[in-house]
This record gives sequence, C-alpha cells and structure tokens, in this order.
Amino acid sequence: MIRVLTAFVFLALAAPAADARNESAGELEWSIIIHGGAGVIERGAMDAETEAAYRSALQAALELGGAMLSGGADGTEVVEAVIRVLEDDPMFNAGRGAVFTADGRVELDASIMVGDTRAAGAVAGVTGVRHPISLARAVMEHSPHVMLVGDGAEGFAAERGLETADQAFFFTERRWQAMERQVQRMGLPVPPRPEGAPAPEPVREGALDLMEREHRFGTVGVVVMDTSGVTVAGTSTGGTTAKRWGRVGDTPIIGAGTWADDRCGLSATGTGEYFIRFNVAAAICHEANRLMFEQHSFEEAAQIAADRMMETLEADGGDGGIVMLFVGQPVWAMNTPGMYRASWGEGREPYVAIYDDE
Amino acid sequence: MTRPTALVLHGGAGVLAERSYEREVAHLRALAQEGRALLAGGGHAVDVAVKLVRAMEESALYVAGRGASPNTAGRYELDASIMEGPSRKAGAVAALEGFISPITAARVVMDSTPHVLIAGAGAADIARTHKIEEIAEPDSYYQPAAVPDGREIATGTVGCVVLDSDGILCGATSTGGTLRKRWGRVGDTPIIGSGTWADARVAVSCTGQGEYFMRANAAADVSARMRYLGSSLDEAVKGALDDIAELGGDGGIIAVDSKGHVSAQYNSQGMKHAIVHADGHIEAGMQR
Repeated sequence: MIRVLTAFVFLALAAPAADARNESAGELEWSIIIHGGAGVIERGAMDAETEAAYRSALQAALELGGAMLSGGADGTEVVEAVIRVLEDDPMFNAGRGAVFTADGRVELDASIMVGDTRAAGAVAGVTGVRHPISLARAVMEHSPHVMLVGDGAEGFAAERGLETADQAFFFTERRWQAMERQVQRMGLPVPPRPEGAPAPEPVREGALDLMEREHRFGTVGVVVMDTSGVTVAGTSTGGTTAKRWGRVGDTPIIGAGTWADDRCGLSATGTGEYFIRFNVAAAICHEANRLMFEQHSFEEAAQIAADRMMETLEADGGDGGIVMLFVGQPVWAMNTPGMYRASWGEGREPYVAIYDDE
Repeated sequence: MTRPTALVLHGGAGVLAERSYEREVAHLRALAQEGRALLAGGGHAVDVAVKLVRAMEESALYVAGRGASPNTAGRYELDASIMEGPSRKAGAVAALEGFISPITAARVVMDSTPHVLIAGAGAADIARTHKIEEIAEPDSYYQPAAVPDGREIATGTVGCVVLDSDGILCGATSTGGTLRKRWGRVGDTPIIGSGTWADARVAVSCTGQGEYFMRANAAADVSARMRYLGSSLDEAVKGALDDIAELGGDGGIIAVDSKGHVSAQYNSQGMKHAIVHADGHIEAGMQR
C-alpha cells in the first residue's frame, strides 16, 4: 500500500520521495531506536542498582548501533549486531536470560525486515541457536523462505554454520524460579531443571515480582535508518513465562511484531496475540503514511498513528509498546507504565528511558 | 430489510494450462450451493467457512488436508488459520501432523485457547485434547494433489470467505504447503495478516507463493487499502496483488466485504474458485 500512497504524495508535493526523506533527514542522516520490553515497570519497583544496569545496557547498545551507523554500516548489519548484544544480556527476555516454557525449556522467536526491498526472515520455537536474530537474517538472505520453525529452523542453522548453544547457556535462576512460580499457579508440575544448569540458588522475592510484571511480554527490538536511507527493523524474544504448546506470539510475525517499508520501520513488544489480531506493526506504518499525506509532520504522523493503535489495543485488552522510525524520526508509544527504550541519531543527544514520563 | 450474505471459495492458484479442472470446479460449485443454503438458513459465518474448508480438506482434490504433499523430511505438516470480523478473533496452527481437518484445529485455537498461533507438536496436543478427528492410517491416508511445476516456491491452498446474515465476516485458509517444502517452512497460510484476515470491513483468504504474501502483509493490506485509500473491494484486492507482483510473486486473493461485495482475482494462470453473490447467483471456474 505504501507505494500507492507514495504516488499520492508525489502528486501532492510534486516532489520525489527522496526529497521528502531529505527534507528532515538533513540532521537525521542515520537514526536508531531500541526497546528492551514493556510492562508494569514503575518507579520504586526496581532497586537503584538494577535500574542503573538496565540504563547502562541500553546506553551500550545505543552506542554500538550509533557508532556503526555513523560509520556508514548497512542497516541489516546494525540491527543484527545490536540485537545480538541484547540477546546475550541476561537482563532481557531474548537469547540468554529468556523466559522458560511450562516444559522448562527456552524457545526463542525472532524476525527481521528490510524496508526498501521488504525482504524478511523469521524463526519460531528455536531452542539451540545462540542468536535467533542471526538465524532470522540467514532465512531472509539464504533461503527462499520467510519463516522457519522448530527443528526445521535448527537444521537450517546447522547448514549455515550458525553458533549453537545448549539450554544451560540460556539459563538464569530468576527466570527459572519465575516459571516455577507460574506453573504452580497454573496447577502444572514443575519440570526438571535443564541439564548443565547451575545448582539452585536463592532469588530475592522482589526480583521475581518485578520480573513477573515487566517480563510478561519482554522482547528486544531495534529499528535503524542507515546512511543510505534504508530502514531495517528486527525483534527477538523468549516469549511469555510458562508458555505452552508451542505458542507463537507476534515477534516472528511479519506485520504484527516487526515491519519495515520504504519509510517506516517498527518493532513491537506486548501481549502478542492482540498484536497479531491488530496487525500492529504494519497497521501503524500504514496509518502514519496516510497521516503524513494529511499535512502532518513525519513525527506527528507517526506519533498519532502509534498512539491511536495503543488506545485501540487497550480498549480490546491488549497492552505493550512499540518503537518506530518514520522517515528516520524516532517515535515510541506504550499503554504500560514502562518500556526499556533508547534512541539516537545524527545531531541528536542519546536518549535512554524506562518510565512513561521520561 | 434482509441483510446480504455472500461467500467465495478458492481451491488454489496453481493451475496448469494442459490440465482439466472440471472435477475441482464441479466440487467447488456444489460447495457454493451448500454454503448458499447454509447462509439462507441463518448459518454463522465461522460455521459455514469451517464446514466448506473441511469438505475441501477431505476431498483430496486440492493441496490441503488429504491432498497435501510431504515435506523434504517425508512428513505431512499442515497449516491453517481462521479469523472472524468484526471481533478479530483468530486462530491458527502450523506444522500440524495427524489430523483430518487443520481448519477445525485452527478454530479450536481461536475459540478455546488464549493464543492465536500454535506450531508443531503443541498444535497436535491441543487438537487431541479437543478430540479433533485424527487420521487413523496416516501411511495410506494422503493422496497428494499437487503436480510439480518446477518452481522453488509452489502454490496450493484452499480458502473461504463468508459474510453471514448477522453481518459476521470470516476468512479461513488451509494448506498442505508447497511440494517438497523444506522441513519447518511456514508460509502465509497460518499467518494472520498474510494469508487470512477479517475485521469489520472485509474477510480475505490468499493463495499463492506464500513468502511474497508474507512480505506484502497481503491479506491485511486489502483492508488497509479500503481504509486508508478509500478503495473499493475490487480495487483493494487488485492493489494487493499488484504489490505482490512488484515483489516478484504470484497467486490469488478472494475477499468479501461487509456490504456483500465479493472479489476473486489472481495474477497467476488461474484460480479454482466459486462465488455466491449477494443476489444468490453462483459462478464457478478457473478463470474470471
């Protein structure tokens, strides 16, 4: 649909899309926005040390991405590199530190999409690959497919020589105990600890409470616009604590959790089922395009579109947040009290935030 | 005033010029008649769509259900999805093994779980828990309907879109995937927004080279074009197909809107389809 709208804009502005982009891109030659999950993250719920650790992890991810982009790196490279760092960081629900299924396993989902070509790759239910985002990229670049799931995805990872990891690598005690607590609440048996996992150790009750609230739908996502003006979006997650039956959320669904087109890129985090049913990522981008055509600035158009979707979701019972770039302009929106997020771009100061009033 | 009802069925956009599809078209026409009678009797859009798609799954005439093809690992992994409008309730299964009617399993995910998409062994667990009919003799059950056409991404799907007399819309799609598909490959069929969509405006079911439909977010795009561009149903379906062609793919799309307009278009050689127009007139064929 974007191209048709572009045609309207051509007529309306009598100017090619490249000019439309450069209009604001004078000071936005590259741009990046990151999220690390949304949820009931409230002031005072987290100790100062933990909060500082999240902020510094977001800052480090931002600096890595910013340095690559300002050096002219390709957007796909940057999205993959930044998400790999977040996947390895046990604080976020992706890769190492991901939540456990009710069966006591880590099952990971990821997707990536490149805006100018709309090339896309996604994987779901991956259990033995260290970096699901790299596997999603491999599906995009080295297979004729868009989505591979389960054992078939693992087999493809082996063919491509991607780095493997056993379940013990992904293991974190606090996520394990959060899952134990949840399965007991659901009246299900507690599964055995994964082979190679460390011996049980105490976890502070408060930390479990915090995790429950913030990681009901933790996800990591990165959207960048590189110096050639291409927008790329990627998302990676472990899904929801104590998920069952091979449930797949919105993260690996192109159009729901991840979307990128000519001028818009978006990564979502939230109650995945609602995000699929409202086709959240693509729908916000489509609406931003339409609003731009109605004389709004890029930033306004994107913000209105994102806020409207968050309201629609909330009315239906869905919650979470999104980060997006619209013609390089960073916009975030959420209907939860907090979302780990950060953005930066040419001529702008780095921005790192957690609570909704920041 | 009686509210309009309408439905469209497709049996896939994979069509070979030298082959006759008389049987398939006759089957689709008979299903259209059945669907028309169900709707006239006040049938619910979801019940009608599931019933007709299940009949296609059981017929072994199409690349879905009994007519599915094995993947590269020799396994029959089937995908299906269903969505209802205006509620936007949705359910889908991917890589489901061992059941007669994947669309029935998708409906169970929609109606009886908090989830939308369930993949692999978990989908079979849910289907079994809800006593969905299992295939008794898997070794002799399947009769692959697909004919190899030499392409890496082949086509074969069945689908149904319905508007019932209460104004409920439903889109439903089921597939046995592509011939010799890679193990674990998921196409557009179980992806809400790509292969199937329904909202207050329109219900959509797609068939074709699934990867392109995913990258184009094709099924939801039909609704987006109506909403944001003010397109008619036919314009919206054509626009979505043109976008797929621009990406390099082909296939077909069927859709019905809340007013009872129908559309069945393709940019491939043809699409096995049948239409029940709002005035009750039935049309069935390979080409439009």
